[in-house]
Amino acid sequence: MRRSKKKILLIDGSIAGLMVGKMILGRDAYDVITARTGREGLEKAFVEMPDLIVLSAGSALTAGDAGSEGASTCEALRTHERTRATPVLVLTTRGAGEGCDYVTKPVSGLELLTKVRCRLGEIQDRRG
Amino acid sequence: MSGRGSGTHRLQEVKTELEAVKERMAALEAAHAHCADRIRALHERNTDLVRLTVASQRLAASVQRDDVLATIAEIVVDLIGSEELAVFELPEMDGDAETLRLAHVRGMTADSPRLARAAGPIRYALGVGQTLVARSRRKGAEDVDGGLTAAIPLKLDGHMTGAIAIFGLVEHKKALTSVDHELFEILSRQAAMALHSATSRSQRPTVRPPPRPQE
Repeated sequence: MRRSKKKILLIDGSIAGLMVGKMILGRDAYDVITARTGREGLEKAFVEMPDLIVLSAGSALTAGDAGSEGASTCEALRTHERTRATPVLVLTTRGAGEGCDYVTKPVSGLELLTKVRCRLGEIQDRRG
Repeated sequence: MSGRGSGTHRLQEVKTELEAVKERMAALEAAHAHCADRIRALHERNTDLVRLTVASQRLAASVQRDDVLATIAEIVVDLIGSEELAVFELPEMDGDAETLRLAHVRGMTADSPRLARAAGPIRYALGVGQTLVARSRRKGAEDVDGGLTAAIPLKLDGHMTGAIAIFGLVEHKKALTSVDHELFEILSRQAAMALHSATSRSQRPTVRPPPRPQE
């Protein structure tokens, strides 16, 4: 039986960032949907119910909302019933806090794919 | 042949077989490592091609002047890996490098002394028409050239129109790679073209329809 593609929601305020993510993940058997702001991402997450959310740490909650970055979106995803259990992978230029799974920008395709597969349970995380 | 002799012979056979299996295992592990390296290299090349494609497509799709400046910043931040940059323009094509004016800055303020310290290398890059790249990130570089990583002249059909200055690199990026140099080349040519087109478009007088004849 053919398994349906897993759905990944990519949230990034940078169009270049979205294009890179879509080219790397979309090519590899995932259905990638995109959002440019946290607000748009939250709306899509509630409707589309993705298997994984890849969130850029620099994504503003709304367009032009420079003060409210990826952390607010992440918190909103964590608190909402429909998205609480959805794994989140953070894209960042600086590294993230302890216990937060992240990939640094500029993105390495292999690293992003490996982290995505780990978070989707498709491969084992070798870090133990 | 005695029982002991037969046992010794068999032991020798097993040892030989074991050695052969070990050799085979080592060969398989080497082949596996080679394949893994090859796959890793292919992924890296694929990522490089994605970065180049995205840079080129984004610049080609940016029509408004603000969009072009934002796209240049996206390329530097997301594809090259620096959060500090400045875009300069010449009032006239091939104009005096001393007349460079700041069009966009990110990650620092317009009056940052680092911009003033980097002015010399930026003007030099514009004068020679070649991208100037810092050999390595030296300690105290910010005091000398503002921590400049690269000064990229904006070239339109061989004529200088401005420059992009990139400062520092994100912490986890230790050095520039070959694809970064290819991205500099794309910025040098395509960003110059995109900026020139957007600026010309914004300065073009709006054509209004002729007034209706009075009845």
